[in-house]
This record gives sequence, structure tokens and C-alpha cells, in this order.
Amino acid sequence: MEKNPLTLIGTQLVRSDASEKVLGAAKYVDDLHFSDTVYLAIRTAEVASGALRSIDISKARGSHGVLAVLTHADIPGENQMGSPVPDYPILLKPGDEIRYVGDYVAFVVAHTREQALRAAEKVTVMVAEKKPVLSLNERIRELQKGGDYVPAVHQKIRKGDSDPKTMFDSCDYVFEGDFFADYQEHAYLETQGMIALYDQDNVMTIYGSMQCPYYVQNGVARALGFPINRIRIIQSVTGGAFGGKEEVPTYFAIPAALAAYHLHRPVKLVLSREEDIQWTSKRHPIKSRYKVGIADYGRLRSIQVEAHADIGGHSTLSPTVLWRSSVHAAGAYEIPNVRVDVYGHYTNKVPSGAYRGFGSPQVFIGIEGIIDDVADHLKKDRLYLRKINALEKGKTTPTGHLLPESVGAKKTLEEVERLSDWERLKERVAQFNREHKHLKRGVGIAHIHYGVALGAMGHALDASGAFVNVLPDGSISVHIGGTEMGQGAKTVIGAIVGEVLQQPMEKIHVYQTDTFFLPDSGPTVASRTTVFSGNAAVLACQELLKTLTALYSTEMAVPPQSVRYTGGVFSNTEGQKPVGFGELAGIALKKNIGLCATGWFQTPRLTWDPENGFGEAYVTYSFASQIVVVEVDCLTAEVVVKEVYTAHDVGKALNPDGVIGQIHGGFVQGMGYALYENLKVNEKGKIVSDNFNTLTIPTIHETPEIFKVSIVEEPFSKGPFGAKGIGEPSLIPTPAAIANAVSDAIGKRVREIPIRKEYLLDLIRTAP
Amino acid sequence: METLHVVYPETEQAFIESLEERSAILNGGTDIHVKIRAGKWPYTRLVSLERVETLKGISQEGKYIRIRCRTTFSDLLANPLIAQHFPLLYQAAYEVGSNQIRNRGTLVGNIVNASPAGDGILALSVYDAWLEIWSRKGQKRLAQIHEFILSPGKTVLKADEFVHSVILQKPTKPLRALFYKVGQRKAMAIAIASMGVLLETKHDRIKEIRIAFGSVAPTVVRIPEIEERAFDQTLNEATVESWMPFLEKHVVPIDDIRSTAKYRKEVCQRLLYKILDL
Repeated sequence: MEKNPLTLIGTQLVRSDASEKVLGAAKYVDDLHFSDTVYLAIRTAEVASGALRSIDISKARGSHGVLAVLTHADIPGENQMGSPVPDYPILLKPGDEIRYVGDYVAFVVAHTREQALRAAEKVTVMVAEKKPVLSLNERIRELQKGGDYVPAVHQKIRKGDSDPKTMFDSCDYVFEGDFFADYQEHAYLETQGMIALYDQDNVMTIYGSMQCPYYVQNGVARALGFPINRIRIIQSVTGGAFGGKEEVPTYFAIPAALAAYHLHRPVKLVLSREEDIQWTSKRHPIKSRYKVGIADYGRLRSIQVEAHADIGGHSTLSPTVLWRSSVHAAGAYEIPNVRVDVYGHYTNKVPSGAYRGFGSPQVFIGIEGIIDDVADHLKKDRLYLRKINALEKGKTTPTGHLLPESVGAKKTLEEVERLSDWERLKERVAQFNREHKHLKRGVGIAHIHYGVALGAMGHALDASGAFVNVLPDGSISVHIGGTEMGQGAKTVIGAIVGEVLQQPMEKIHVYQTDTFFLPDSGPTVASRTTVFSGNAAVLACQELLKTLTALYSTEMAVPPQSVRYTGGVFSNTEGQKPVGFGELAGIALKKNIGLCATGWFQTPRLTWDPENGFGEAYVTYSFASQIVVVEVDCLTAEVVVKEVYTAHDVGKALNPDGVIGQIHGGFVQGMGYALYENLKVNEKGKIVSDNFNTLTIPTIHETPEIFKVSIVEEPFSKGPFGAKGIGEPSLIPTPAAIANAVSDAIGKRVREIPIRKEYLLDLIRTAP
Repeated sequence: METLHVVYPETEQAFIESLEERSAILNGGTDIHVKIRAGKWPYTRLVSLERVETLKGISQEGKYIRIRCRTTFSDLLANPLIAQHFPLLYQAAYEVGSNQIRNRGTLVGNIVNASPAGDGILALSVYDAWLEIWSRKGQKRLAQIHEFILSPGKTVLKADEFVHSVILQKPTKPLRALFYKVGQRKAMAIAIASMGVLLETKHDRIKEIRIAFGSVAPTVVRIPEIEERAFDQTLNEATVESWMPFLEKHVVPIDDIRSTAKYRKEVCQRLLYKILDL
């Protein structure tokens, strides 16, 4: 069949969920009500480290309104929610080790949430407390001592000469530097929440805020000892997740499901913001040491990175997050000799987990800071230095991945150069600085790549399904295994279906994700949904078109190869005997021809050597370059972002407004990480900045007034219409670009984010 | 959480009669809300001022201006008298929270909350404001802002009293004003440190200066040593630097969740340079 011009893809689309969200009509999990609902509160250990001696629930059980108090003895299945590492019991039993303040001791169910909370306080716990490990440095020192201590995670990359003794021998210059990136809170719209119903068919049905329903399904099945086919997960409207609703929702679905199982009543568990901030995952704090060798007037020759991450009390997703850190640690450049070691260390703090960028923004601040050091030392333009080292088609990444296509890296650098009017921008800033004594502006650049989807480490999960059903009235329902969590998945998948089937968006309804409809489609993470759910939808639609073409051919006595489908109308090659999509669908259904199809997209195979950390890490990479201008008040160390120029290679922008929205949102979130967030953990291992009164994230007043975006389209042949991902690359360059801009403004390298005022004032005071 | 009972009297008389031993006044609620959430709220009964129209508004009484207790920060910003005569109060009001908070939050609520970070308190401090305090029995007394606040959260207000209004004397000469707040971000932030300055100069010589800092001591502090010595000094960097030791006694900050004592102390010294741009 010939190619039709695109009518939806790449055009301005109305977000399919816009009006319900703008009008406040969308039903988030706490807006869902079932009769006879009871409420659950969690009693946590409240000490960071120690051994649990005993639990006394008698007082709680007698507390007003209480229906049940559940402990470890009430778990029908496996008392374990740690995956892949089984280090995370659901409920502690006497003798168990407490690993952080949020470990569960008991679940209290009552008629109201207040009653449950009050009773939870009455659960008495005896603990043999130990001094908690709260400092990453303590673990690093242990490792350096070389005793028996083994870090929980060690991921590595080796390419070319990776012997630290020789790899810098052929370099003309060697640069070194230490960096630190601290926690970041997801600050999604609604807190974690679940409703469990143990209803008909003996099926445990769970509604909740989440991005990965299949993770929840598997986790709940394990805890209840149910076969997976008796667990049904329906994602409720989810107002942002950013990785915070990847592994974590399982930890709240399990308590709700356990209580529903025992009480046979709907159980609701919706966290307060304070509980959510105290108990749930954060971006990994990572300390890194960089050593970079340069040859040939600025070409990167060798790089050695040693990084240490605080994984908190449980391993959760840390092995995968830190693998991604290792893949991206050497930056988006061609470097012949690479040695990267990323270690993950247990501490007695909140488990670190998935967060937009997945372990990469923390290491990009290192490589991007060093690149500026190199450029300054060699007296070369910082943008130029990035250009001469950038990846191109036919070059290999720091893991040795030969890139065959879709490498818009250099183009993104050229685009920010053009957008910002680079030479004039530098002059403008210099002029401003000559005219101001205490206000100083700085320009910062960052250039990044980002592996799309789960990559070599997550190969087993990297497949997705879509189910497309054409109904007698010509309307189309679409189920996907990926989720809409605010990023616009429904709109983009709707557009893909509409484009392939040549039907308007109004005819297409993309459903909220429900595990009943599709096999395990993996998680909605890693900027993979457009590619994976999108491709699956394309495959399903192509199947439907085949069926319809065959039907038209029979009905109209036209040979199958002469059937034309254009503008939503089937015809013969001359355009005669036209039959519209809806009409033909009606005929098909009258003839008992099924018009539903499932598409299943599997990731292309990757060649990866896990022993040596070498090979094809991801199916493809998105690229981005960003220039920011900041203004630093050198009296107070306050920083404001004034201008942003950012270019992103997304393969193909299927929904350009959606792409720009992601870029704006990712930037602001990255800016919050770089400048405003200040998560505080007290000496007892408890997060004390536990609501938005003390944990500051940017408001509309902090967003820069000048924000220019360029979308670069270097198509990815295996993506739907050439698309790659944008969800995370929208954030990733920002912390590095801002750190570099602040460094430029004050004339001294910023080595940690968030750039706290207290830290920055020290730098300013000691700057040349 | 205990059940909170809120009563809404509609007249001043009904309001005064509603006040009881275990009740607190709800006058905007932007601080009460935070305290309730943090579990730091002892009262179970609130008496709201929301419907008492006569307790709202700003009026001129000769050389004085009266700001009644129900007047919100948005009301202050909308009234030309404030912008004209009390620019520092105007600037401070503008820096409070967000539009939504300024629409609800009141100047008097800010004062009675007695936070060392109170933006309104800092402004009233440099204007040497008076507070008219009414008792349930109908007695009235005046207290100056400096005496009114004792320590964080503590005022001289007795259980049966409330602040009826703020009284400000219109300055007889035009004073340049600077309110500067260092927060965790530009908007919706509580001060880490703040400075309020009123200044009059003639040919670069200082004729009058009033200077106060917020968030760096148990209460908002004025710096009398600077105010006394500055007369006739030339306003330049050397002068500003010579003032720095005078902060020592008054600027005695602490470490808290928002920042460190070290930063606060240093930033107060550095903020003095901002006076040069005034």
C-alpha cells in the first residue's frame, strides 16, 4: 500500500485528556469511592537501624474504629517485596533487621483514616537500636580500606585501554575533579494511593496511582500467594510520576491488597504528603571522581570515573539505575579509552530509586563540568570543544556501541548555537558583567545522550502490547500496556492509531491501562512508551488494515494488490468504488469478521558483554544540547535562570506541542534539582523537609522568561514514524548546564547540586 | 486530628462576645493551616473574622493611618495610601507568599503570629508602628511593635485581647525604602534572612537611616548603632563596611531547616551593600 501524507503525526494536536484535567473532573485515586470502604494506616519502624525485638498490637486492636491490625503473620504469600534483590520484607517480624525509618511493622485498618492513624500510633514496638549509617562517605571509606566490605552494587564499563596505570600515558593533558549530586524528590501531583477490592471471580482488583501496573501485579501476586491471573491492576488517573511511581506503588498496593484479602472490603490507602516524602524513593545521591585525558588539541582520549551512590536501606531498582549511570558517566562523546566504576552502597536511609534520567543527571554534571575545564584550559570555545568530540553516525559510544543511524548530537549543538546567537550571547553577558558589580551573569552548556528504553540490562522486560478494537459504529478503542501519567501517552498513541488507520482523533479512545487487557508490557519508564506502545499500536493497526483490505477486495471484486486506502477511504487504483472505513467496518462486523488485533513489539537484540561492561547498551539514543544564562547575586548567592536555549533530537516529534511541553517541564524539574531543592535528613535518618513548606520546588515565578526550543529530527528506523524518546532527556542536561552557568558567572567550578546558597556563598567568597 | 469548630460572627459585638478561653482568632488562616498540619495547634475552636466587615479596611486619621485587623496583604497593595506613604510596607506585602496567600493572609495575623521571619513585622518595625489592642471588656490600649513581640510566637497579648488595628504615622519627609528578602526561592518562600531599610540622604550624606533584619534573631531586630552613627556619614562602601561590626550584637541567627546560622550572619553583612543602590 502506498504512503499517505501525514495528517495527525507532527501536527498540532489537542491533548485527549486536557479538558477533564483542566476542569478538575479527572478522577485521581482519592476521588474514587466504593461503598463499605475502610482505611489503612501503616505503622513504620520509626528507627533507622536495629533489630526488631517484639510487636504488641493489643492496644491498637482495641482502639476506636479498628477492624484489623495485620502483621507479618498475616501474609498468605511471600513476605518479600524486594525485586530483583530480596532484601525488603513487607512486614518485619521479631528478629528482623530494620534498615530505614519507613520499614513496615503493622498495617492498621479502621473505619476512617484518622482512626487508623491513631491506632497505628498505639502499636508498641521494641527495638534493639543500632547506630545508623547515614553518610555515604562512611561507606566509601570502608570500601577504600579494602576489608571485607562489599558494596551492594558494582557496575562497570571497560573500553579500549582501561588500565588506570597506562590509559593516560598518551594524553597531553589530564584533568581531574570531584562532584556530588544530592537527593531529589519527585513532587508529583498526587501522593501514592491505592484502593484494593477483593471482588467477583476471587480476583484482587487494585486501582491506584502508578506508572507500571505490571510491577504492581507481580508484586501483589507474590505477597498474596495468588496466581498472577487473579490480580487485576487498573491504573487510575496519574498526575505525574517521574520514576517515583515505578517501583514504589507496589509497596502500597500490597498493604491495601492484604487488608482487602482479610476483610473482604474495599481498602483505601492514600498517603499524606509527609508520609510520601518520608517513605518513598528519591533520586540517588552520587559522589563521583572524574579523570579525563586529552590529546590532539582537545580530543577526549581517556576517561576514568569512579562514582558512589547512596542506595538507602533496600536495593530496589538500584542495580539498574546505576547501570545506566555507568553507561552515561563518560558523557555523549567519542572516547577511545574508558573505565567507569559505579558503586551502590547501603545506608539506613530511604531507598533511592527511579527518577527521570535514572542515574544520569548526577554523572552528567561531572563530565560536563570537566569538559568546560578542558576548554578553558586550552582556551577553546566550550561549544566548539563539545562539537569536535560529539558522537556521529559511524562513531562509537563510550560503551563501544557503533551508531548506525539517528545521531542528531552535533545538530543539537548547532541548533543551540543558532538559537542563542552564541557569539553575541557571550558578548552580551560579558557586557552585563562589566556594568554590574554584584550581579554576575554566566553562560552554561550541557550536551547529553540518553539510551531509549530498558537496554541490555532490561532486555527481558522490553516488549509491549497494544490492543485495537474497531466497533460497529466505526469508533476505535485502544488499550496499551504503557501508561498515561501526564506525559501525553494517550494523545500520542491516539495519533499513531489515527494516522495508520486514517481516522480522526475523535473516533479513537485510548483507555486507562488495565492489566486485564494485555500481557505484561513492561514498565512505563525509560522514555520508551512512544516507541514501544507506539510500535505495538502500529502493528495492531496494520493487522486491521490487512483484514479490511482483504474484505474490500472480496466485496468489490478488486484484486488485493489494487486496493487503495487513502483519506480513510478504500478504493481501487483509479479511486473508484469508494468505501469509507466506518462503512467497511460495519460490513465486516455484519459478516462476523473480527476487527480487533493485538500488536506486540519486542526490542531489537543487543550485543552486550556484562562481564566487561562493553557493547550495545541501548536500542537507540536521544540527544540534547542546552545553553542557559543565569544571574548570580554575589551578595546573597541567589541564582536566577534568565535564558534557556535547548535542542533535542527526538527522532520525530509525533506531537510537537507535547514534545515542547515535556521539554519545558523537564527543564523546570531539572532547575529545581540544580537550584532549589534542599532535602534534609536528620541525625536519626528521618527526612524532615517533608512537605512543600520546607521542601522548595520551583514555582511559575522561577521559570525563565526566555525559553527557546529546537526540535531535531534524525529518524530512528525502528521507532514509530521515526520517533525516539523525550520524557527524560528533557531534564537531563539542565542540572549540568546550570552548574556550568553558575561556575561561569562566579569564575569558580561548582561541584555539587543542588547549589545551596550556603555552599555557593563560600565559593563566591573564595573565588578569584 | 481533633474536630475544629469555627464560628463566624457578623458584627464586632458578636465577635467580641464569641471570644472564649480556649479559642483562637481565625484571621486569614495561612499560618494556622500550616500549624494544624504540623500537629502544633492546641485550639479546638476558632472565631473567624471573615464576616466582620467593620474590622476591615484602611483609613486616614489626620497624620495617622489605621489598618484594621481583617485587612489582607492584597488590600494593602491595592490601597494608594500604603504605596505612597509606606513603600517599605508595600514592598514587604508584595513579597508575602503568593497571590492566593496575599488574598487571605492579613497584616495583623502576620504580627500576632510573631515569627522572626514575618515580612509584615519587619516593615512595621522600621515604621515604628503602634498596635491598638482591644479587650473583651471593651478596654483599649496601645503597644509599640517593638514591645509587642516577645519571642518567636509570643506576644504581650492577653487571653482576652485582640489586635484591633495597626496605627502608622505618616513620615514627614520622603524616605527611600528597601525591603529585601533572601528566601529558598523568589515566591512562596519564608525568609532565610530579610532586611528593611528607610533612608534619607542629602548630597550623598545620610540624614536618616532606619534598618532592621528579619529571621536572624528571636524577633525582628533594629540596629540602633547604625541608625545613630550614620547621621552625616557619606554613603559609600567604606561606610557600609564600617557598620558591619554593629550587626554582631543583634544578628544572632540559628541553624534551622531553611539555612544555617553562618550563612545568615554573613548574608546580613553583605546585604548592607544593597543600601548603596538605594
